[in-house]
Amino acid sequence: METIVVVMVFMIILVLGLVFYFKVSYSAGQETIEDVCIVSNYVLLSYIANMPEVQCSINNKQENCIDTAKLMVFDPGREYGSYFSTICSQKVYFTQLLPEGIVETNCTLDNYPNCNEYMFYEPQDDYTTSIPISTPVTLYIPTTGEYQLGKLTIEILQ
Amino acid sequence: MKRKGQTGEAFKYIFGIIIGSMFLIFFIGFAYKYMTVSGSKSDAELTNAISDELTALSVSLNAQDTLDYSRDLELYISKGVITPESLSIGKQMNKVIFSPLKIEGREIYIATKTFELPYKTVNFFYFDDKRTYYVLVYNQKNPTNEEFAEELTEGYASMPSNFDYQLIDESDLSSNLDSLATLTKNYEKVRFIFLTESNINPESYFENYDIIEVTYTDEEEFNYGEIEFVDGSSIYLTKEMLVGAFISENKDEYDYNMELALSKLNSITNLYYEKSKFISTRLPNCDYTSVKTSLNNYKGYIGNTDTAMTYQSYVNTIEAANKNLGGECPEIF
Repeated sequence: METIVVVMVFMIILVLGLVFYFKVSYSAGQETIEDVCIVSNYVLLSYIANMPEVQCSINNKQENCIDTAKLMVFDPGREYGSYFSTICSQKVYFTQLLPEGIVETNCTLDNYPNCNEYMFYEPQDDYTTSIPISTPVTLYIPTTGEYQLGKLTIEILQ
Repeated sequence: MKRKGQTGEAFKYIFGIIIGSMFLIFFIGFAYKYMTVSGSKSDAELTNAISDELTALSVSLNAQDTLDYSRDLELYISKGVITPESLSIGKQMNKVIFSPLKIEGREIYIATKTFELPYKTVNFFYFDDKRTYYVLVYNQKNPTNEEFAEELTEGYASMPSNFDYQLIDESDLSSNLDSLATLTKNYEKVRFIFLTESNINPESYFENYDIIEVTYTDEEEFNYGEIEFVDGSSIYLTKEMLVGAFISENKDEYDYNMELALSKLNSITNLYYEKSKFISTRLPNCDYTSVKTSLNNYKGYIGNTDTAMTYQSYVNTIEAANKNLGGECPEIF
């Protein structure tokens, strides 16, 4: 009788230990996923500015700038949706910072280039918070031949 | 007559042994399961790390790298999916990766080159584990063939220098098969790439080998032609794609990557076509008709893999149309 009670107590302690272990493993796994997500998005940050879909190409030579005319006509959601689905989802956009009096609005075919925000990729996912990471870029406006300071922002959605 | 407690003692021991064995089996099983899960988790992290590495390398026009994760690696790479040995499902990289089917070893050698036809489209990735030795065979007596061989070994679009290969004249090859067999005895496979027609048969010297034959139709830049694999023939467009054929396991793997590259080329061409329409409405004083028409025609042809030379004429037309622009009428690409 005592043996059975001892075995039962041991089983209870074992089960409690296993529950604790799996909870700790699960939260460690979640942390790893978050770390991997952030690292992947930092890599994406450097890559997006060099994608042939957005990078300036003048006389078939790559230049270190973003072609805003390409941003106006390209729809990455349609063709590259799978590319942006890393472990976590993200919103990607370019913002023109200069000149100082620039109209702060989303760029459309009607207001280009008198606008400052070029949405590049926006998923339909729901999210509560986001972590923005950004890098400076040069924006090229081919219709006027101007180069302006801008930034590329990736918002990691959570 | 037995006393009441003596039979009970025996049952206690039996009970203890059974319960103890159950616990032991449970803990051994748990430890084994933990090891398996840890291995799988580590391999899943590895494929993510490789994906990030390739994405970072995509920034370069022409680069090489060695991946070393301080452990032995065994990866299966097929049609853009990298699957570690311990996992049943791999990760789709969405990249053009030319590679043997199985990559093994502590280090993976990778190289990347940009595919342009005529504009930058996508980066090609080449994987190697130094278990295959590549022998490029050319004809020294034919100056064009010699120039072709030099382009593939010394030019901008040459075989990656971190891969093991050798360039040899066909007459030297026929008299040195023995020494080549000795040199390559530690490699699992030897691939002969004939850049010229040849009747050399290395069968009796090599246990595991295969042969690829290349025929170029463009005698100036050598960017277009055909490749004959063991299991069929395909076209190649640019030397970068040809180098991918040298490394691909077979025609099927090569064709998948070629079609993926053409699909991305179609996207980029469509993008430039849309850009030309967009710019022409904003700058009505500029004539973008020629470049719009040539891009539209090219868009309609991309994907056709019957002949390589037609791509050359489309590319020439588009380049000429784009070169006519400039100044107040910005080029499309």
